[in-house]
Amino acid sequence: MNAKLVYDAFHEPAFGYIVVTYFFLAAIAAGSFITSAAVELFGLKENRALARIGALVTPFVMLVVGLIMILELAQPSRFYAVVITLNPTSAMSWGAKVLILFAVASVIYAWNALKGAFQPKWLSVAGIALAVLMAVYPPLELVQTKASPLWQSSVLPVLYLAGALLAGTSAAVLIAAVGSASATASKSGAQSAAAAERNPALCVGRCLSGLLVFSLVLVAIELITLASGSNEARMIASAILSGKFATLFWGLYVIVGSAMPIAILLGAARNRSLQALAAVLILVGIYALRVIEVVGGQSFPLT
Amino acid sequence: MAEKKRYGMAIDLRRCTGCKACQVACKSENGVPLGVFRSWVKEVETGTYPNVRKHFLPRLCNHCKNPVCVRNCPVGASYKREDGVVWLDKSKCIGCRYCVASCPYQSRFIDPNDKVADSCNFCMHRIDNGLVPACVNTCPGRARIFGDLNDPKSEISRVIGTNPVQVLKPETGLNPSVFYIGADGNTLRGSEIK
Repeated sequence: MNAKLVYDAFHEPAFGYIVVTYFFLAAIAAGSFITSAAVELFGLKENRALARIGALVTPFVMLVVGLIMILELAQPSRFYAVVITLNPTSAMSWGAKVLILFAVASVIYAWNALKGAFQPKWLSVAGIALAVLMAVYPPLELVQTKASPLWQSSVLPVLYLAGALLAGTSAAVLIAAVGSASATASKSGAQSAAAAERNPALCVGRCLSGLLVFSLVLVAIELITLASGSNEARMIASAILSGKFATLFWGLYVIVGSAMPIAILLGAARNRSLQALAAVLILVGIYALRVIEVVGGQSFPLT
Repeated sequence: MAEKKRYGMAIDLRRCTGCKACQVACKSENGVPLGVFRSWVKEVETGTYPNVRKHFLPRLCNHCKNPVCVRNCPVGASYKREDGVVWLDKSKCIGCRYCVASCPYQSRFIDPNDKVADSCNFCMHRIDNGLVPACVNTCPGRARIFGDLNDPKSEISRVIGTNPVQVLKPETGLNPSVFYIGADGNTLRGSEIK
């Protein structure tokens, strides 16, 4: 039977691009810390330079993440309440505490890295645990809502964790490449840059490619689940696959953000410039995926 | 010992004419700003001429027994009163919009003037003084029935007990306190008819 909606109140989406950016930067911070601390823990000497960049980047990204979190509130001056109050059933309430603890751990870790001091094992382990929580609490916030079928997914936290590892490593690779390029430009740094070019970090190409494939598999699982779900879930799946989010999904996430970097990384795994290009593409793809998840999840009226 | 009160509302859609007097009364009673609504009436047209019909679905906060907004509020500003009314302490609200994003009924919004969350509270100031909510008071078709769901002698208990009723999105497990009589399937659908 024909049915046409004549009137419904307009509901402004609760989470917009500021939240998308917040989720994206939180992923970079968590991912860069996890890869950096893992390199230290497992003593992967070849990747030390990259790990150091990751360690130094994290606190700065966390500073921006904290500022975005505060400014996104309708009552920014009351932000302290979320730090001092705990609602044990709220992922956001726990997330705020994780954010603070992780920021503190990342500052201590970065300070040690800057001084070239020994990183205590407990700090690396505790930092990694906090970083994992930092990566998975945003999707858990979405999972806890009752609003969108796109968010009611147990795949989402794993997808975000993989995304954090991808984003963090890509950011470190990118900064390393920029640093290397500027070092090459200066006479004094030319030698070390050449040395770095001869000894690129291990596993970066294969690890990133593996994570990209893993993420694609998770996204496919999510879409298959949606496509076999309720009417609302099927609407969202078709909006992503062939509707208003199709360009973002196929263009920016699948082709630009996943297929192209996989091809680049597997084809020219030891070329720093190409690695940097792949890193940029990965970051673009992850941001596009976050837009689809956060904005797409709210793009349909619910009742 | 007498059971605690649990306020609820039954809306008899067979009596609703879509006049939107409830929407206006709510705005007026609670000073709800322009562009946002604590209560509104959704309209859906079905069929093909000459076999057509217009359906109305008055909407408001469902005052769930297990409210997701209360569960998710990071600062404990959202709460449920002993009488089942779901509300929030506006002086505690940080405006994080998590309750807005969490609610499957899209009942919460950020008040553009106060910059805190807001939604229907069953006209708390009225019911605490023995009156019914403004929307119930104003409904010319007497489509809205308000009362204590835990009182078997109340009108709402009688109406719910003797009619086939439906709640919105029962699959969420939130256990709403707003019941509909005579709801057409098309009015209950969300995205599909957009």
